[in-house]
Amino acid sequence: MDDADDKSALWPLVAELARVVAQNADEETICGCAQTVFAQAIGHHLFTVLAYNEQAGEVVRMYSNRPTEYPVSGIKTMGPTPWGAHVLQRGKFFIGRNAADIEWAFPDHALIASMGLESALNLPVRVAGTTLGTVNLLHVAGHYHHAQVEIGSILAALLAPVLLARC
Amino acid sequence: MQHNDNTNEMCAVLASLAQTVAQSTDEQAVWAHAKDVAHSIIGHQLFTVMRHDAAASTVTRIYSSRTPEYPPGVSKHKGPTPWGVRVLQQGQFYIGYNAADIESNFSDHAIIASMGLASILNLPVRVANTTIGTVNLLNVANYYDETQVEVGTLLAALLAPALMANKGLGQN
Repeated sequence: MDDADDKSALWPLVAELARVVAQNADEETICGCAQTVFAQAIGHHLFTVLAYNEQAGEVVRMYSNRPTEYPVSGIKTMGPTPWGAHVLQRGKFFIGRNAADIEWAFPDHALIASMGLESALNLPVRVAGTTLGTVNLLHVAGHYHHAQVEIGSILAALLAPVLLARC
Repeated sequence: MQHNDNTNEMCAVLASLAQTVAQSTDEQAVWAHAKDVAHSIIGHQLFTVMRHDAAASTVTRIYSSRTPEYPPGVSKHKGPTPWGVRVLQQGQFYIGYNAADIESNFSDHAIIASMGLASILNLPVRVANTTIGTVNLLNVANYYDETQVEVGTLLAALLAPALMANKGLGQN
């Protein structure tokens, strides 16, 4: 958004994602719509959706817009990291503003850097205090900032039914 | 949305409801917050949430802002009325503009009328093409119109996770 004070342009995007979640059972369709909507509302070069099983400490990459570098994956155990404690356990958003932040947050930072990506916005999808997944946006350095979190958190919340259906 | 300030305020209010759904383990607190949000962005004198069991064709009131007249925990069988087809099966909103609309669609219209309520907005909560519940706002005659439906639909959509988690039978 060029004008962060005017959210009226975002409204149809939120309505579109809500409509697609209401009318579709197919994860690929819903995550594909989310990808398009997040691209217009906030922007990204890489968009992934992660499903998280809190009890087992396992994650699954259920959607990726760049499957060559970031394929949809099987179940993986998520080792403890400061990023995981912040986003997955405490359910807080994370903004990585530059390459140093990315290196701190993600073990696969070399791959991210090789794709020209140097900033990240991670939005937890949470229901009743349990993290069910995360929406992950990556872009060139400095793309993400706090003003994008409000609309991002509404859009992420609309994906909760899809993640709940996996439980 | 005509006014940017208005849109920004609705965004903030809906984000705060999303946050409550995300964090709160107290389901009644979630519904109570939804009631307050619905009051600030649309308005109502009675706010209820129903869970819909499509297989059994029943609806169960899981929240009510006026428990003496409309207690939670009550289940009703819903036959294939025009209202049921529209809201529960097809998942479309319904607006009852006046007492005549309410009388022709709701068997409890006498209670509604006795509370001074003569218009209704029913918003289906829909996931994967199934209506899992409805959010219901009532007010004086001619209070509701189509301009309130878009934001109401978002409010209802944000409540879907809480309704999905409500698998119990009319607990409150």
